[in-house]
Amino acid sequence: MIFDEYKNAVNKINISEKKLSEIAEYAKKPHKKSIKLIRYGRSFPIIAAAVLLLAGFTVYAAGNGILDIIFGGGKDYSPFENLTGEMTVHSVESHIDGLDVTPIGYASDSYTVYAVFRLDFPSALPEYDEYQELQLDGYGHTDNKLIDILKSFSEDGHASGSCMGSYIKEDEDTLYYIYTFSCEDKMSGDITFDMSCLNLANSCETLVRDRLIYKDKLFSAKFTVNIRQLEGRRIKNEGSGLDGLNAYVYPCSIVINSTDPETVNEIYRTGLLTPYSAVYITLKNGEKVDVKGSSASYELDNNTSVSFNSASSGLPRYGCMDFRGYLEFPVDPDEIESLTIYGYELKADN
Amino acid sequence: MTDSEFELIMRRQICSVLRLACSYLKCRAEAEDAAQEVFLRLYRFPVSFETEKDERAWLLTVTANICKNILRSPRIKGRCEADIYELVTEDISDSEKAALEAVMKLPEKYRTPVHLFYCEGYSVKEISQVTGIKESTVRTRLQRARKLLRADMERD
Repeated sequence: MIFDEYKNAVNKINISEKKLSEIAEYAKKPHKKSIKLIRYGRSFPIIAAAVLLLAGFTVYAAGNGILDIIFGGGKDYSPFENLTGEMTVHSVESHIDGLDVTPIGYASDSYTVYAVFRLDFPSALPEYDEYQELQLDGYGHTDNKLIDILKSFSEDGHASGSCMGSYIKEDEDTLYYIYTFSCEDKMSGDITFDMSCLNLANSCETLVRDRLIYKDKLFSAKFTVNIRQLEGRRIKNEGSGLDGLNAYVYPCSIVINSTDPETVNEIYRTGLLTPYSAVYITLKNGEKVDVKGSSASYELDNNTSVSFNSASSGLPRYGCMDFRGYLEFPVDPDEIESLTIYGYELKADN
Repeated sequence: MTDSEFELIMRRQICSVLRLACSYLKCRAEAEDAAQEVFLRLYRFPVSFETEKDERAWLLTVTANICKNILRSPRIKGRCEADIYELVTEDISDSEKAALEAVMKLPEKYRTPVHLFYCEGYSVKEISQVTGIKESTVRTRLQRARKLLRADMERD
């Protein structure tokens, strides 16, 4: 009965002839480029055609979410869905009664993959609203097969990398799980992941206390992604104070390298790529996108490595560097205004 | 797609698009903006539809995606609680008002399946296709929505 009344009420939502004409005219007017990531998604067959695959990790949940939508950290993450490719999902298995896991999609480039799952819990997460974002990030641990998997798909067969995950709140009984995999070496082709999301670890303390998540595993998923080779956007560095350094931005990652000893020395001298240095991208709309370092991101040479935004550090001795970092969330490289490395601003090459 | 074909589709489907947008956004002005964006996309990326049903399904899917994006935007947060009676353009009865109010009070995740099921006559499978939610989830949400509405009515 209530639904009949509701339907009757909704049927009285109509549109005036004037508004209809306005909308039609608006559509026909010439428009500038559409929103960055939507346009990118449309023009990029990678995303539409991409296929996700998988073999076996256990998730190592941590870090910041790319879909920070819920907490509205001032960034518009909404176009993420338009960037995603349809995953080829071989299996998804929930390990909690009533937990509904829906693969949403993924975004990727040669160095980084983001895969997004939505978790619909069987009941509301009590008091959830009182918790802050950081309390919802958690740590699991990587499966011992990780290294083998990396070897199996990196182009030169000896890459290292890392995977991380974040839980982002959608509403009282829904979380997004964003699985981020970044690889030091270039990846290409179909890559299969066999992921097992063990638990919410840190956040688990909170959630377990509420007897919400008390099992070791939340869910497992096997899926495949297809990585296409993409040109990175070159960032101009002439006159920035970092001549000799090459920087490229891809949709999900950045690459910074140099074989110029003076540049490398300067970078080291200024403490540029230390664990606490700040690297970020500024988009044309003024939005800032943080760059995160992967655990094996910055190899200098024998026994010398500096990991950026992670725990290890070392001394560069041989005058070369090769840094990989992944972006806080995917971007359209055409929309990049600049890359800032520890106060040095490198303008995008237009 | 010619301009006249575009306008024909628009006239045929705009109310469904607007109603779904209202259901998502609970705000007439935002819903009209969403509808505008939907038809802008249709015009710029013309799609050929075999049937009117396909046409409507495509438009409603785009509407759902656009509305979800709008809801995620920090700009919209807290701005969607305008008077829901402003949504309708004609007089409505008290019982219709009460029903509209009750459904609009539901969380968005329940409201949309209810709207598509009861107003658009969509099946669970079709709702799943439009919203990207699994069929089992759609069923659960419809069930919970009914339960919530029942509880709401009993309380009143």
